[in-house]
Amino acid sequence: MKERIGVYICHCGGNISDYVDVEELGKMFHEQDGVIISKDVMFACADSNQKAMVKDIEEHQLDAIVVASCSPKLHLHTFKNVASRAGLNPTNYVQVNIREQCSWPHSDKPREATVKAAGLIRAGIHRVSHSESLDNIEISVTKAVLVVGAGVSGMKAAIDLARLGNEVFLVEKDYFVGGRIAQNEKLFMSGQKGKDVVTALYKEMKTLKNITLFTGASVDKVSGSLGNFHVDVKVKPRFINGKADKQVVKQAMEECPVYIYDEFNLGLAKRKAIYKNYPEALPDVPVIDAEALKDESDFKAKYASVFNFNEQEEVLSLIVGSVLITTGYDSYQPKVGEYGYKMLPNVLTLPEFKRLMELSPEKLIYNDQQIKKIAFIYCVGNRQTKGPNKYCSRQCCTSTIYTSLQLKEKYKDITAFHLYRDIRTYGKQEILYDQSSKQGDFYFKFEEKEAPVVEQKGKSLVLKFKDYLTAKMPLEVEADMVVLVTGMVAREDSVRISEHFKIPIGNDKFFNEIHPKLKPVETVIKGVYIGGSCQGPKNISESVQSSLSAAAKINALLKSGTVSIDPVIARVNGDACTWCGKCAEVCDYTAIKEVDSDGKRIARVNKAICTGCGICAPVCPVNAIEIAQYTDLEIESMIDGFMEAVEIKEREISTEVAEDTNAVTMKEYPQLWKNILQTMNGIKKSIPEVADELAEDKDIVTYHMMTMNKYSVVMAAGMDDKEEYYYYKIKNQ
Amino acid sequence: MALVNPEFAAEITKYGAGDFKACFNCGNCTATCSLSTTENSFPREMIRYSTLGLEDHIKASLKPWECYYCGECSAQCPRQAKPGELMMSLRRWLTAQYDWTGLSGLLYKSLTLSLTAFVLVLAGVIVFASSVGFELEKMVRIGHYFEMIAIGSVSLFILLPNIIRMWWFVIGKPKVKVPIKSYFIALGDLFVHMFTQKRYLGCDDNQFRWFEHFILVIGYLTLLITTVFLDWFSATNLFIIVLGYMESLVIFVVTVDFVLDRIKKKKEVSKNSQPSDWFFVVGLVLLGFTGFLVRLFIDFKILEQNSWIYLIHLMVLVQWALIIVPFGKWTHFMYRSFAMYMAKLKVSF
Amino acid sequence: MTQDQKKPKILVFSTDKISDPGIDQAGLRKIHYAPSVYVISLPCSSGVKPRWIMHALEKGFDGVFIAADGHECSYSSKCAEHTNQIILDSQALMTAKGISPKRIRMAALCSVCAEPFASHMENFSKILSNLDSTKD
Ligand code: SF4
Ligand code: SF4
Ligand code: SF4
Ligand code: SF4
Ligand code: SF4
Repeated sequence: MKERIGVYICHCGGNISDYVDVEELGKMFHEQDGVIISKDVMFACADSNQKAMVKDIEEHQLDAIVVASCSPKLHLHTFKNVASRAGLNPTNYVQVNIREQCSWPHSDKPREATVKAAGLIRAGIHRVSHSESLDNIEISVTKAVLVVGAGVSGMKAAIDLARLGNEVFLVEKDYFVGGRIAQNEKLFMSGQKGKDVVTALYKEMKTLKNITLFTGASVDKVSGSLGNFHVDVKVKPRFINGKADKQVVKQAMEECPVYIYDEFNLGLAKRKAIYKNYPEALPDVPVIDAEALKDESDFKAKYASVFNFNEQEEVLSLIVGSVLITTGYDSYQPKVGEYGYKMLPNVLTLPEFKRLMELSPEKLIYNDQQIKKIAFIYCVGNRQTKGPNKYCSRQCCTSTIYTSLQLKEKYKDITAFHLYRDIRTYGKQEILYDQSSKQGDFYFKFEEKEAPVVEQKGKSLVLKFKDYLTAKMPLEVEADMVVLVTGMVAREDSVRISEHFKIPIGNDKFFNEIHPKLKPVETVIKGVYIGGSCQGPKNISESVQSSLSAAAKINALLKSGTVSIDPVIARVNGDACTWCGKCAEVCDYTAIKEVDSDGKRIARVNKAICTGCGICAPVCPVNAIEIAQYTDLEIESMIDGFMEAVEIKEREISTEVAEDTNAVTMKEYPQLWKNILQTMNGIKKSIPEVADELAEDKDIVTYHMMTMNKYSVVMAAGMDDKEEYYYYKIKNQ
Repeated sequence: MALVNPEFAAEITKYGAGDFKACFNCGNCTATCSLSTTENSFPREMIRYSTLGLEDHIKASLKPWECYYCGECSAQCPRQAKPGELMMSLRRWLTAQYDWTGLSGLLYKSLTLSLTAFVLVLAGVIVFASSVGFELEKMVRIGHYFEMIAIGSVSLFILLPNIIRMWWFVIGKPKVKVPIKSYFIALGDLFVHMFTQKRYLGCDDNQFRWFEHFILVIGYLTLLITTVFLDWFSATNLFIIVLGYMESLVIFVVTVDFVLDRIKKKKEVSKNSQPSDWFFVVGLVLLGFTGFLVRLFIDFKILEQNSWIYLIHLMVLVQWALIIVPFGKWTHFMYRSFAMYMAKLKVSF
Repeated sequence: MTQDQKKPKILVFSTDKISDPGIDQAGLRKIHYAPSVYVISLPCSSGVKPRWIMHALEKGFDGVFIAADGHECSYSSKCAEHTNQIILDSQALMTAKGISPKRIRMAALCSVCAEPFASHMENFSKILSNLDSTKD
């Protein structure tokens, strides 16, 4: 029980005190409530008040504080820091929201607002009186990071993490690094070749001794938690003899009699059963499709030195402090018949079309037909109002337009039709859109509900649609090829990844960050971060930005060898617990494990994993589990606080009048106000003059002067000679 | 269903259109145009039709004629698609479509062809002059007959069929229903527009240009009457003589101002001169100037000694009557007036 | 006592990251709801213990409202299910004590759901008032 509590009730310059009788509340709490100090203050967050609070805590040996002011979302940390500075454990601080949840929504009923505020503050006092001093939990961490996925995001992050001195394990599912960007001949805006970027990153990685790359590898098992994840990585065999003569291997690749489906080229070409994704693919070690070569005993005999069919799958166990997921995306795969896909011969997706372009250096020929007129249909599989993919993939508009520019450059005689829903070439990418229209590309706008219909007509395809740029006129366009601009979707195996690492998946199936603005690369699993397009559609630079910020976060986390985590977590009362396992069942993070405690089976919470969500607490049949800071005592005492009767005198003055005068009767102005008023003593001054005199920032003075003006502490007094600034003077002087 | 014709844009470019395919359909041009209305909005729609190559839609439209080329839209276009310039090109293209001989189109598209035509006509005049032994009296008399015959036959065989074709594209083919009596009621509009070009007044800040245009048309038409029907060059009546002087002077002054504008290229409208524009204004300047000189020479009684001046005048006149009037920019004046007339017909029911 | 003080007292359990910001926003935009609404914010709506609900109802609250995260919950994809179970458990306890199960309600509220919050309060108030008047 805390018995030396300090209570500060904030006017918020009138935002609160205009409606809630703050002064009356300031007089309401006394020693019998455990309250030693109770004050109403003009601005609780003002520097001067913070200093006064520190002084109060020290002088009066306060053991807990309550500030009734704005929403804790704004100033919780401000006042926790005040507590810390005064040597008080910040968990003994409670903020009561009497602005957003009292004075403002009840500005129509000032008296009731005051009654409610009294209840809220009393609840806060009760809560803080039961508060415990909790220290952050310290965990020692391994300075190693697992990066899953060696696309551009993963490689960039791995390089940065390694440079900062962390051990990095980079795991790539494919046998070669680079991910999707290697499938792009050129990358938009910079015009760089995708493969060159991959090569450059790979070379850079190779200069760093502390990066270990696993290709053909996937995460198999994960246990442990922040600081000490135990991860099993399964590495598939390549079936190639590492010591074989390079020349012989090359010859074998050339002579290999078996062709197989070429995944890298999305089926637009065939590849040999001994292959690399593309000639320069890295690591420079071919892969052998053992299954396909099953019956080729002559060939196998001839090149026996090249093969190593005895190679086995390997499982490696790694211990890492943190994990970065950069698994990227899949391209949306249209359904059979969607815009004629897989039903009409010349309908391809954008990724397929890009492969076709790269494979056609001279003329664009497909199905023995020279392609001259190409129609792009945008937003395929994206921005579905009915379907599951509600989002926009951000990069496909630009990618398509860039492809269209490339087409003209490469094959000259090309007509491109763009059937779009909206063009989203944001930022600098807008230039490409401009170029494309200027080069003579055709743009049409259709609506999702009236999607274009693609039909075969002789050798060409006909697209029928209503063009919203031509007063919805029904139009027909003839093209040799239709390209479906397919957006990004979450990877098929993202469910598996999410199960391994327990990271949540959103409705759109991409991995979820904690907060898109405030914690954009963090997941609810401590120590597991996400970067790049596995989190949602991003272009390359956005992907790299996010994975690098995740890398920076991870580095900061692991740097000191220990991490300190919030003490607001679940705890089990060992005496009461009977190990029924219910809590463990509902915990999505597997934070609860059965342990032996002096011969008794009970539940134990892994502090490093528990998120403090509290989901386990209500399910316990014997009420043996609770969350720190949300104990029964705290919550129930708050409820009692709300219900305690309060006697409030009717305020004598009505709010209208109060607006004019209350500012003048305020007991305490923030220090800056006092200073400003001092400089203006009897003389009118402009804001720059005041700022100069006080050596304060002009913007800050402006802000305060405006507030003082609003609360009638000062008033305008004409313009200066240059008609640039207003003069202000003290009101009632 | 209208089929998109990607080839059309290239065709229209030959008539002088700019980079109109850069248009991204923002609609600023239409919003800024002071002649465009909610019911009858342009130029964006015309740009769209041109981009898509919807020829029938363009042919059925009178909108290109409603634009008086103030250039405001081109100045406001964020994509520098020059919508005003496109409207101008569409007028040229339409003129070529209306013209059953097809000559207009050829002359618009090819400068070489235009120049050849001018040279041929020039040669013809010289051959004729030499055949009469450069005798002034014969030249003047035949010249006068030529004027009358040319006016008659050009009107009858070229201009009239072309107007009928225009009617067919705009009203006949799209099956617009027009009651017969409207054709008479609307005649008033035809004449008002022909003589006053009053729609110009709707353009912002253009009162002066309208005024210039107005007196030019009046001057031109009256000079035509004065020379052809009042036989200015042979007239003895002082009033007719002075009238002719004044008219040719007006034409000369106004057209010289137009020429200077085109050279200075300050105003949006004067920035993009096509050969056909030059032929038209220069033709007018010369017509006014040489006519003026011929009459001056007559009055000073020195024409006998200087019959070359009449020869030059005749050359200009023949070029004008055989090329510029039937196949050149002159027809704009006529189609524009008829467009107003047909617009009235279209809304009359 | 004024009219308004007879308004039913409602205890709202909100969540720190999602519904509480929504309720804050109602205040920010001065969207009025009854001053007899009190809010306690928790990490997750699936962490409300039925005994807290019982405590509130026994201490004089007329109703309890859970402003749940629904599908937006960043802790658990099954959050809505869990919260629902809490409601069911509480209702069982309430029925045992002769309290109408209608005195507890739940709805998903997002971080900008200002108007929806106010109208939920309005509706719930009406329901609670009706319950009281039929009892009398
Ligand atoms: S980026 Fe463009 S094509 Fe891609 S989903 Fe968004 S609007 Fe559609
Ligand atoms: S509070 Fe409970 S349910 Fe939530 S993470 Fe911790 S142990 Fe698991
Ligand atoms: S639910 Fe309660 S009793 Fe059961 S294991 Fe968990 S803490 Fe122990
Ligand atoms: S202002 Fe330019 S870009 Fe906009 S609609 Fe007109 S021509 Fe097109
Ligand atoms: S040039 Fe002038 S009149 Fe013609 S469309 Fe443009 S704004 Fe309208």
